[in-house]
Amino acid sequence: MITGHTGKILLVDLSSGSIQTVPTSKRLMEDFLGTRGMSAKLLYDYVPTVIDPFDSRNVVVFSAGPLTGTPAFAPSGYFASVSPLTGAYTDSGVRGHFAANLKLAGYDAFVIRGKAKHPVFLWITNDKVEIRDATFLWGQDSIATDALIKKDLDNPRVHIASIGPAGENLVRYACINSDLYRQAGRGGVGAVWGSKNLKAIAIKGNGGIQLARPDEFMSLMKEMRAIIERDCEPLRAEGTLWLVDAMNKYGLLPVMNFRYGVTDKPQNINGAYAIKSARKRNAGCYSCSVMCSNTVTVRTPRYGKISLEGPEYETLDLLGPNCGLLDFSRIASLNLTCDRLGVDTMSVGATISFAMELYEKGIITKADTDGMELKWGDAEMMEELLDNIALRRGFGNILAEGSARAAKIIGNGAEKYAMHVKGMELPGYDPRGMTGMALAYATSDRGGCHLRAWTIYEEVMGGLNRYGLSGKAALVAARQNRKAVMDSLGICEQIGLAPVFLSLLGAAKGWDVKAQYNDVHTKLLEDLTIRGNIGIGARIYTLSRAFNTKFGKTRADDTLPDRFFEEPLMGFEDPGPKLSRSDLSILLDDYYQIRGWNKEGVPTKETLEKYGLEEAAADLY
Amino acid sequence: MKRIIIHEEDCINCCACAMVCSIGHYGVCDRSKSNVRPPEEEGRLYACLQCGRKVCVETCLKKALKVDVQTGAVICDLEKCDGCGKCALGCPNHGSHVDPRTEKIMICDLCHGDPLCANVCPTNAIQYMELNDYAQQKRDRIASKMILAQQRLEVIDLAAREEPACVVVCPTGALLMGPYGVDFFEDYCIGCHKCLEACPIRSGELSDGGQIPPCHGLCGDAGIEAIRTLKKEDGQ
Repeated sequence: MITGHTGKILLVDLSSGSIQTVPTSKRLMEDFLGTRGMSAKLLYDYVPTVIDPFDSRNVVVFSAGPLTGTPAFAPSGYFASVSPLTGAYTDSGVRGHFAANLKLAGYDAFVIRGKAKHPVFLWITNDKVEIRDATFLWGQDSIATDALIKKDLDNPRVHIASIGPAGENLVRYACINSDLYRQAGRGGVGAVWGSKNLKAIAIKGNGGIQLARPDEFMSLMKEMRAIIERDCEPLRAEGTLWLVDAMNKYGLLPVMNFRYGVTDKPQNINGAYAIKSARKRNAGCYSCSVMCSNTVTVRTPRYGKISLEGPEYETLDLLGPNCGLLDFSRIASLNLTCDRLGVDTMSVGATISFAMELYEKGIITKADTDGMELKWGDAEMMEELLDNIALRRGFGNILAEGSARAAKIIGNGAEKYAMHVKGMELPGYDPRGMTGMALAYATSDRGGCHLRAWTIYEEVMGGLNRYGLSGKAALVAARQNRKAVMDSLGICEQIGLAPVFLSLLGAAKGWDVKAQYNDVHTKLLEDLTIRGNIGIGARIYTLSRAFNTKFGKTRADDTLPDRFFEEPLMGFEDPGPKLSRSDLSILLDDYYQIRGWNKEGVPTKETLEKYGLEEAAADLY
Repeated sequence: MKRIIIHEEDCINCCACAMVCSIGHYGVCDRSKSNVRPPEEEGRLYACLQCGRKVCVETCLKKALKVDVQTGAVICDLEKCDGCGKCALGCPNHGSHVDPRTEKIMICDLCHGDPLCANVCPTNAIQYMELNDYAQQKRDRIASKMILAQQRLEVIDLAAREEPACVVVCPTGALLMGPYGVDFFEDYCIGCHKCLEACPIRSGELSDGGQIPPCHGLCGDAGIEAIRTLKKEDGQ
């Protein structure tokens, strides 16, 4: 009997319309656990050659974890694909009810291949899987799509992941919306759906998940709830918005396209403001009692009085202060527009702030922007620009390519102002304030991303010297491994990886799980061993690195935008900190050595074989 | 005797109750094989409330159901149960269900006096407590709101108010005139319905929680004038 996992993977070929299930191999379950690890491995297996992201041979993989669907707080599922933004590996996580329902419907993962001839959506309910016509949905926004599918299927309780007009128009940072306000935002997987003519996936699962030791599982659940009650109280109060004040205090809050590190009016957008003026109540994901999602109610000129989940910290910063906008209700309105149109709030925010800076510097003028004045903090203009981007109209057509490609199209020195790593726009933490985070951005496998290693806690609030170099490479590698394990179990980053989760995994799967803890930071999990099978986190990270190497990413791509090396951070300390290229080079050397990669950042044959990645070794050597 | 008490308005549909119930009773994590039904399954949160009448026990032809004297829960003898579903049909609370796979009845046994669902519920939408304690808690809540209201009214200049009828009559300051119309502050509302009675157009309807949703400024100058006229007539 398979416990924890369900033991089935769904294979859908949109070109031929064939639907089949294959058993989940023992290797996938033990070496890659699920969620992010399983998605990465399936992507590696189903994309054998180097292809364009919009090629019909590209695949979209989605996996749920071994604990997803059980009462353990692990509601995540991960999409993986070849990214339209970076042209290499990407994955993107989504919480809520979608992944749990996939598990309860009886599948660990699905893989979507091929390209449909006309718009379709997928309807998965237990052992019945249908490809249905979605012509009537094409062109509808995400929220209308949700309602229309529920009406079409005559079931108000299905869980839907869908793309908006942006995904249909192949905007390179289009996101996938699930359960209305939960997005698999980053990397542009939504555009890959659009290129496959796949509008939505509706799931309703009614099955069960077998557990190896249910009694032990239940007693561990009690322990876990006690830990969560103790640790997650601040999250319940303010959600992720507590970061606004914290990051502003330490000079890490990007303002006006990463020029400044602080804003003088955090009180207009912070958690306290949301509670006082806009907060209605909390919302949460499947089985999770943290309830960190903010459901706010605001009045906006575009929509009138609206109630929505969000904005979270990243959205708030990149659409707000980073575009010079300090008005909570306007940012919430922009957030709703992004959700409706199906664009990643982070990438689109950074792209708009990039365009605003070009306009300010005179690199683009009114003639380029169809007469629009791209002034800092003009929310009306941003709403219009968002519509133009999603529908690829006029100047929006250029910005829809993402800031890296847009800079190349515009030329004239615009590259300097595009804040991206490997093509994906940076999130809302300024790396000039801390060398570890700079290294984490540079070595992130999916581009400018904070979710691979969030070292801010140790560096800024903990004991380490934030501008120093010692121990940073080891810290980043350990954090990346830990995050890979956490993602692969399906645990949300808001909760953290308490040791009790590993015991829960053991109880669910009937395994003997051993964790290796870091000596310096005793609380930090370094990596995970299951049945003598070492280094699950490091294995996943090495696999995605091998995938990126295959797709032509080299050491030269492990870098940061020029601004961080040339301009000091303004508004925080005097003189403001900036990064140096030689420091980053030293850190990269250290980091590659710890990872067992060569000087060019390519995993060595020994490393690949150590982690049992023979197929990657065969590809690279 | 303690009972299960449900506050449906607090439920966030996380399904934790159903999953721990299924593991605790049936050893499998399966939302649909659970004695408590979250909105994900049935659209609303249902569970056996250990009511006094026990229609299920009365209707059971096989005498499979009996009441546990210690906890007051209904216990099912699965040997006797033939899954006819009469108890499920008769229950006004949707408290019992037939398992479609085994065709046996599923009903809350209160986990021998320590219900798992009430333990795990993050929002206390399911509580296990004495009915009298619950009533006391509810009274305390109204009392604490009245204290809040008293403090609030002290800082509001009552004489300066020229506002719609609902705002004028509200005894706690839960309704106030804002820049866009009437603002409703749920924390202060005690559910006295005075605003509803005063409203000339009867805009609000009682919500499930017994509180009044506001009209958000539908009551314009004409409405205010109408109320003033009415008041004058009353005075004469």
